[in-house]
Amino acid sequence: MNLRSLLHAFALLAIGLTPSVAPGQEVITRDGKITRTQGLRRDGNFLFLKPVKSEGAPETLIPTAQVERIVFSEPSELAEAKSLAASGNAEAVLEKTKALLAFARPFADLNANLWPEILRLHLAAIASSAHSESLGELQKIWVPTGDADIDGAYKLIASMAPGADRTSFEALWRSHARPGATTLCAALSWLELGESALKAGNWNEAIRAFLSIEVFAAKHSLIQPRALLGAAKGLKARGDSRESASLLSDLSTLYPNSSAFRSAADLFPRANTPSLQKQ
Amino acid sequence: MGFLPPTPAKGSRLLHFAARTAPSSLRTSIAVLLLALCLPAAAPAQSPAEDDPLLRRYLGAMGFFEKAEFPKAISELQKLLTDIGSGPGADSVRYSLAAAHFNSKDYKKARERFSEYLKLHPDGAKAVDAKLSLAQCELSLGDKNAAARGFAEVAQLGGVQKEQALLAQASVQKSLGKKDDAIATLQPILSGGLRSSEAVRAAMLLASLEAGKGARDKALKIVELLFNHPELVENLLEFNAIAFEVGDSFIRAKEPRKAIQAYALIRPKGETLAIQRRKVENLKRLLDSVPAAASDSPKSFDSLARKNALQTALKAATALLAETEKKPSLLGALRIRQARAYAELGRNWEGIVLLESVLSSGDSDGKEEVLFALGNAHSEAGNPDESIAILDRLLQEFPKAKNGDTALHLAGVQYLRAEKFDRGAPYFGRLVQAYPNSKLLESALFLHANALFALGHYDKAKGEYENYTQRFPKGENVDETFYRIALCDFSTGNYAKALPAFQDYSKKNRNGAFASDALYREAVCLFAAREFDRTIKLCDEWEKDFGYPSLRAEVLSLKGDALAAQEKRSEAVGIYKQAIACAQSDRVSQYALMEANKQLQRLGYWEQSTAMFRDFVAANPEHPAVPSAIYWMTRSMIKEGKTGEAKAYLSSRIFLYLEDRNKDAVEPLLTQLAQICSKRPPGTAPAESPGAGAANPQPTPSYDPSAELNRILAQAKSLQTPLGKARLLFAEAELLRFTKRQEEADKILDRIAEQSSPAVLGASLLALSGDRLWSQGKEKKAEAFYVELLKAFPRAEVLDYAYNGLAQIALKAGQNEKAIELFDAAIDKAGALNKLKDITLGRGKALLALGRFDEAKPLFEQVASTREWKGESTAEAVYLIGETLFRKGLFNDAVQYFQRVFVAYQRYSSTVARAYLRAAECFINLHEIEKARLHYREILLRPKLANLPEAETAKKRLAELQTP
Repeated sequence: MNLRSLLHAFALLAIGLTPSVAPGQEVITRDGKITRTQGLRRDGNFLFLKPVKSEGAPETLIPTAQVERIVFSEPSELAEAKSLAASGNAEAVLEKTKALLAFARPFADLNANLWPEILRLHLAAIASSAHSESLGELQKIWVPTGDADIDGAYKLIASMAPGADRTSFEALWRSHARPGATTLCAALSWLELGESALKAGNWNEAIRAFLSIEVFAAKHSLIQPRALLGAAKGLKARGDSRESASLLSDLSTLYPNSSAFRSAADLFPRANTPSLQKQ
Repeated sequence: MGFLPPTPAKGSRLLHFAARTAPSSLRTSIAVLLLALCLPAAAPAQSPAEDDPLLRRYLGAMGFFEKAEFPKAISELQKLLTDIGSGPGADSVRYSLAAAHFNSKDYKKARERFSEYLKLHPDGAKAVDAKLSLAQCELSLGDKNAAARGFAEVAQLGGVQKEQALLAQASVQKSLGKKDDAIATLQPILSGGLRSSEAVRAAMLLASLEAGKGARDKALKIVELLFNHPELVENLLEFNAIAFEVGDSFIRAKEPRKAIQAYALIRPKGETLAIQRRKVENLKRLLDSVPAAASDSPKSFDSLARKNALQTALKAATALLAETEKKPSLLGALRIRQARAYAELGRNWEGIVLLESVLSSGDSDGKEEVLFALGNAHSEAGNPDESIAILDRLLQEFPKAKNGDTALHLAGVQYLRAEKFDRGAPYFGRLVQAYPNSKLLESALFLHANALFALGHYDKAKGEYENYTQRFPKGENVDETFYRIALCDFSTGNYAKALPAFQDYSKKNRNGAFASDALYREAVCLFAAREFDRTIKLCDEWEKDFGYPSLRAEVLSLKGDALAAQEKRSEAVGIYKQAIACAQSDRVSQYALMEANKQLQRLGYWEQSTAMFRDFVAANPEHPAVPSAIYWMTRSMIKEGKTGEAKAYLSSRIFLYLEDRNKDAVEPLLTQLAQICSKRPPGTAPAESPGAGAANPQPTPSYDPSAELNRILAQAKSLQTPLGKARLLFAEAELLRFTKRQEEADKILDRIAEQSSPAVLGASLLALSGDRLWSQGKEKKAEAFYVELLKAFPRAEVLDYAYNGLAQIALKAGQNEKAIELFDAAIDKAGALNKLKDITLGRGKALLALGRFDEAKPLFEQVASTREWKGESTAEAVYLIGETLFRKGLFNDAVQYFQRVFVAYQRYSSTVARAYLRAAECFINLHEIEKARLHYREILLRPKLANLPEAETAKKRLAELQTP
């Protein structure tokens, strides 16, 4: 969503509070010129633009060196992926984001908004589903975003690939997992620290780590199901069944399509809720 | 920026006129120059001002204006206005003059001048601005209705001031409580989207209004939208305030989940600062990118205007950055709210995580409140230790904490819940002392007294209960307090005082919570006063009035006691049996069972006794009284002459449990079996033949106790488990003890201790083995047995062996504080059922070693005066009384105790020798050297003492004393 579409969105909000999205892209060149396009493609060091106002006119061409940034309006697939992420469905998000990555990859080095936005979802989905195959595919096309959080998250996930010596990363996780941090890196690190603490039987430490994701990094909805499940396990282990049940209830209500919820059904038979029974 | 309306509802921003507001209606030829005035240090090099003296004077006055020297600006502008009269430019000068009054906060004058402007220049270029300013003056002067009318009028006129006017009008409407009107007023600003700073501020005001009128979801959506686009929000502090407001509105409406959503939109100070810095940097970059004005061409004019706008924006953004830096972080306030919202959902751990994050951030803003909230959260999450630690930290770091009384109360309550009364009592004591006006005083006094009561400090508890009744005669717990006062007297054995108090309580609270208990205790008091008839009468009365199952067995037992005291034994047995049948605690049923047995024994009803115990064991196979029941049943059988049957029954019970580590009863039963076997069974001695006389006695058939025991236990000999073997050895040792072969018995016990792993033995053998090893100086090994006993059998009757043993080890190692703690645990946790003598003596020694003489001496006196403990420990205790006095320098008093030792307890050589030495030292200190010599010689003269190490010391000292 670009600024212009946001302005429009608020106009709608003021009346019906239902934002909408305007299509198209904006290419901003280094001289400050903004070109709204209805079509955009890249060929080597050139961008081919189809400006909005010149319908029927031939494409114009801009050297990539002159591009300051590109603002894509949100594709419907990305909106769908976000919606799936909100319900914790990592597998479905991965399906969506794979296609989106292929679309955004050619512009990844041009300060375009789409690449980091998709990656943020894609990385969280990989971490949430422990999907090593997707990680392998991503490694083949990886281009740094310049966003420290996303690039850091990529490194963290890559380092946590199967077979890696996880204990050696504890210091790194702790450096990210600072109380109050809202980043994806922090959320991923808390997840790992929580899992380690659970394995070691340090229930209180595990609960603290998992719940840090809930309270500080709530926006990473794909990470939440595993965090809620981990915290519920910790609480149950230390004998606090009431709070554990409350977290499981949240898991079933908020993330019914997550793999964490499906595994919770085996671990906590009493957590069977109507939404679980439907599955 | 020429006109900044006040921030909606926050009122922190002031209408302020910048210098450029004035000159637009002066001669158009100088327009460029006047616009340039908006740039503080960028007056153009070439200007027509040099040719016009009036213009020069105006520029001078506006120079003062720009430097915020408003009195000078006013003075100059007034003179200029006089000189201009009604000539060209008068409208601009008049407007500037009004603006200067406004900026110097003289709103009355400003109102006059703006009104004058409108009267004289109704169509002036600044007429709309003047109207807007007039409304601002009314607002500043407190006439909100007039201000609202003024803003509405400006809004109706349209133009660039319309949004400002609407926003200001809505703000005033909000302050007048006209929320719906305010919302309607804002709609035109928002209908075009978030295109201006007024529109963004209108959105924020709308969110606040919607939240205020209950449309919280709408408010939340607005705030969420703004949150995602911080670049649009000019004032992030104001945004945070609105998000707080929206979150709070959800909390009030009991919608914690939505509140959590709203609070999550509040940016911590660091993040707000970072965004604001980015904005400042962006503005600087943009400003740098504007080309410098080189001429008065239209292009240059555009450039100047853009630069002016950017500079004004930069100034505002920089000011906002400075303001943000100065503002408190509010992190604590935010986290406390979030924690509260989670707590509403019954989730305390989230609160813990949130609040701990404040402490680890090093942000001290709101730390006191955070510590208090964290202590609370830990308490609610069932982490009493963490909670108390945090509350202690709060009280330490903030001795005058606002919630200090609540913190003390909460910490105390948690200790009480954990039955750590000694830890909890001081918190309530502190609260009572430090917060005499606290709302929690009543509760604190009561709980303080309860804690003291639970600690057995009945006199202190009574004092505190009386304090409560005086200060809170109508307090919530006053009835219970009166009852507890009586209970304090009762518990100290002061039945004469307790009786009328209970009677009084019963009279006033016949249906009170403690009426049943009070009546029972009244009966106990009467029993103590040997008024048995009245006791029985009250017990019957209790049965009639209450008859609660929970206390019935106690009352029946008391009635049985009264009947037994009147020697109505059969009747008493019947009542005791009723008590056994209805008892709800093992303790009471055991008491009634044993008392019934006493009466049956006195009546000689052995058969009945056997039957009673047999029935009891059959009905309660797991009851802790079963071993005692078997013991007494076996005794009754023997009394009935059924020794063989008794042995068979006893061995059958032993075999049942021999290899079960958790069956503590096995060892006492083995002891009993060994005791029975140690004696020739009655009837097996040859009967004397009549007339045979002593001259021709029948040979006595031989009886081998060991063979008899082996015969009975033969069935168990095949057992190969370490525990079974150890228990059979124990039976052998017990038999040797009963047949006066103590040394051999000890050797067998030593074998058990040496050969068995602590992990396999039962509680009794762990206790005995630990003591055997300790007596041989094998502390390390002994410690392992004691520790295992504590760990594996925390409810064992022999648990005091473990605490005492570990305490003795600590005492020997000079760890006196630790020893005292362990001795205390032996009493408090294990009841000191078996080792009270050793515990009392040991505790005294530890206190003596710590120089706490006044606490130590009564303990030694207690040991010395207890007849049941007469023996070596009596000698030791008397010696230690002398030692206590010696250490206090009271040599005359001390010497008497030492002398008592070697006069009255000569059997205990080691103690006697030490007493001689100390007595001699007393005399040396008293300068009676000859007497000292005599005592030293006495050691050397007594053969029993001559070989002891003390004899060497005596010899040495004697030599020293003989040296001139």
